[in-house]
Amino acid sequence: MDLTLFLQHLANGLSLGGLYALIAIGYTMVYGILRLINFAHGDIVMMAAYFAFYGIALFLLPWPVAFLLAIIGTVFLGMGIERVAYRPLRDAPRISVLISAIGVSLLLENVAIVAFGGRPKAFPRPSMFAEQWEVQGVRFNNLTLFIIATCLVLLVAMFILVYRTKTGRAMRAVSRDLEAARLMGINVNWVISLTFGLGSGLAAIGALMWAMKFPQILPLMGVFLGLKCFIAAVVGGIGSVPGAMLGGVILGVGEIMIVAFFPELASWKYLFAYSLLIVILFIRPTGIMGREIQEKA
Amino acid sequence: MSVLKVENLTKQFGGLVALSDFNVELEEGELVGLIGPNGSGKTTAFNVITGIYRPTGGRVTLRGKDITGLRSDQITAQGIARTFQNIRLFPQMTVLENVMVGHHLRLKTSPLVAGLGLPSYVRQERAMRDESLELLQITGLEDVAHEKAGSLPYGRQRRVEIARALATEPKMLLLDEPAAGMNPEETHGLMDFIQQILKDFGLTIFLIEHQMRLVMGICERLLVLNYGVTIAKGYPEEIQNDSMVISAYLGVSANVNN
Amino acid sequence: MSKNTVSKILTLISLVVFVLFLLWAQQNLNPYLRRIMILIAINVIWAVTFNLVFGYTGQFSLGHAGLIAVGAYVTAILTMAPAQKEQNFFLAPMMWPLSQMEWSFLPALVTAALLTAFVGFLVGIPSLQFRGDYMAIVTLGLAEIIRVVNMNLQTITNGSLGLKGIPSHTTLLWSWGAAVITIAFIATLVKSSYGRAFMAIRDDELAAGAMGIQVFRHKMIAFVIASFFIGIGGGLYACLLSTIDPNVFIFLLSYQVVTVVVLGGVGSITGNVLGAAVYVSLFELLRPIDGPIPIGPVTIPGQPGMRMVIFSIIFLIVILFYRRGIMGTSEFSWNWLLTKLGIWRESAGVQE
Repeated sequence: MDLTLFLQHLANGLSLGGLYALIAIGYTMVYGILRLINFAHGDIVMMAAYFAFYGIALFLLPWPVAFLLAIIGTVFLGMGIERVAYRPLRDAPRISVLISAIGVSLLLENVAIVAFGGRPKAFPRPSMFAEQWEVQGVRFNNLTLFIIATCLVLLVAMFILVYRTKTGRAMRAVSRDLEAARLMGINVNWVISLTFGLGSGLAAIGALMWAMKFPQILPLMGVFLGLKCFIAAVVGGIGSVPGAMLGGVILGVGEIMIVAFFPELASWKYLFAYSLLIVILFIRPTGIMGREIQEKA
Repeated sequence: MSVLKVENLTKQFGGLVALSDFNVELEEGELVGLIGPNGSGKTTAFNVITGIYRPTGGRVTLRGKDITGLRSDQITAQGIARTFQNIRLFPQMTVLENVMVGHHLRLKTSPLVAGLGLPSYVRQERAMRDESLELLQITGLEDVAHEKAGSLPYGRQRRVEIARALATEPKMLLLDEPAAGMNPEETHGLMDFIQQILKDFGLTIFLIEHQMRLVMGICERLLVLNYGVTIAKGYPEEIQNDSMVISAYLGVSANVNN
Repeated sequence: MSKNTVSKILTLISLVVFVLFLLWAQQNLNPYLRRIMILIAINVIWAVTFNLVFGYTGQFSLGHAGLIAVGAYVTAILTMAPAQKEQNFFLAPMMWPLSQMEWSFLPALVTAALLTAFVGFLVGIPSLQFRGDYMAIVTLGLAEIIRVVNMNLQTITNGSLGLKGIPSHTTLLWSWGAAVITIAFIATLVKSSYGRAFMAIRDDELAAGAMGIQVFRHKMIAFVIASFFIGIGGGLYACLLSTIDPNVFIFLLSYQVVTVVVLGGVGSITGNVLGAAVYVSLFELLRPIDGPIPIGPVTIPGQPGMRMVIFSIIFLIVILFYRRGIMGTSEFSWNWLLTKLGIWRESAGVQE
């Protein structure tokens, strides 16, 4: 393989990884605060894509407007789900919330099947993303570069928010010790809602870029995507935002590179993520950047 | 040979040294106390000895057998049982069931035999049940045998924990603050009870306690911890007057009293 | 005669009555109703096994679909006629000696169950080391791995083409017989010391270990035993559907098992049976919603998938408001029934 081809694959991997990272942040933040794997997160991604699709196809909105409305709608959807399906179970055994998340996931998927139909729909790709550039013999898709740039900007913004603002400090406090944070006067419910809103918003942006990159959308598209992004969060260190970014990139680049170097393994591509999960859970269960939680006796 | 021999036991959590160079030797039939201010590492010592934590350094030997670093269930199988500072019963199960759990490790059968309900298993189950009921009688709990363990008052829950520990047929019993939350009358009852089981079950007992009446009343020897370090060892009368111990508890300089 | 003996006699009588009912049903009920009853039996098996691992031992596994797949595929492969196999495997011929094997139902089921137990063991090794939520994800991932592997083993499973023409061995007697055996074994196990050990692990893993219970070993015991019976359920399923492909055993099937157990009451075997009955019956009863519904002069157009939406809503309502499900953690007992009917007087203490 020559350098130009390698760089092309790398760029693809980074753009894919960036998308995984954006969605993984939602998982990792929610897990950090509530110790909950939000099974419905992947389906929120799916809903974002459909919101945008219908905005353009049904309401004939210009695509920037449809995209913006889709993102806002998804944020409210995520916050609404927390309010209705997770908050009431805050004091219940942890597994109940997990089961509730599965229920929400099922509901979203089935509603999507009924409302949107089970057949795949073609997501529009705005013309500005259809161009191709050439840099030093390497051909880049406009979209790929846009994705990488957007992801970088958003990830940096998230980093600043979580580590350099008062709000971020509140989020980290709640994630460390919910009760203590409450005793310190932090409005825990508001922080949790914000976390869900942020995670959903980022997931929505990731969803839109994903749908532009892979223009077929299905009601069940969020399932495997969500699972993969959760694995990315675990690999990077569950509960850690930089960890989710790292995990996403590792997963994205890894996936692309494996198929690039070993084309025969293409149909086994799905196993890469799952295998990575098993391996990391054995070598370093808290993830690359995760913290250890010791139980007291 | 001593029953329990702890040599230079150390436990570090990252940068924090919770237990440092802990040494103790218990002879058969002894009742030894471990005291010290809150956070001095007493429960940590218990946790390392019973396999809940892995030691950072040092050795633990039970009747000559090295049990350092073994898992908690392995250590219990070797003959050390314990109770917990924050009572850890199985709240959904009855008192009787809680105690019967303690017998499980001595069971000689397989899941297949148990699932098929074969006579060889049924016989053992009956024996386990009878022995557990007997333990409940000894600990004065037979009237609540079929109550959910979580519904009992605190003091009685402690007794269930002790009964459950006794069901594992231990040689050594580690009691972590057994008198916590008890009034003087209950404490007195507990003191008699501990001395009774010490004799009746041929045990060696190591106990952590804050209530000085109990400690001074029944312990033959004492060790005192402060910030993970052993600051005094000896008989209760000596310890009572030791200036380092007094200052550790009261937090004042030892010279103030002179 | 002690209450205990009476209970045992009553159970025996009910079993005999039930068998007679099944024999009658086999001859007299229409195939549609029989199929529903068989589906209930299979779901009972899946629910009781999930309950063993989750309700009693506290391990939340989402790997059921993968284990069901193993049971289903092994049974199908062992019972299909060579001629059928040749027809199915047109893309790539089936591996020998599998292509020539044609076993009868019982040995095939037992072999499938044993193999599923073994796969369960392999799945358990990584996943049982993790708690609650992590275990869910790991088992989900492993079930997915099984699905992907099935899709790629062209010469064994026929890959994504699936298998058609599996002999319909599954009858009312087979399915309910298996269900009764599963319930009997697991109920006996759970009442034994092992059951207490499982529940101790569920309630407080640390304390359980401190009481001498080998925690990992016992989690594995529950998981492997559950896998054995899941395999039987899977085999019955394959010989009922007569057509299977890897996508039948998708994570949604694992979710279905969770739904059944949550509906009926986690931790109650009686609840599992009721949950399975309610789920399958409701599923069939709601079938018209997927199609047009005539109400007088108006016809509400049906929407395929509405059924599942209603189910999802019911599921959420149960988990949010009726978390204990139908039975909670209570079990049916003759004592309860006869006391309720006034035939027996309430006695202090628990039945032996």
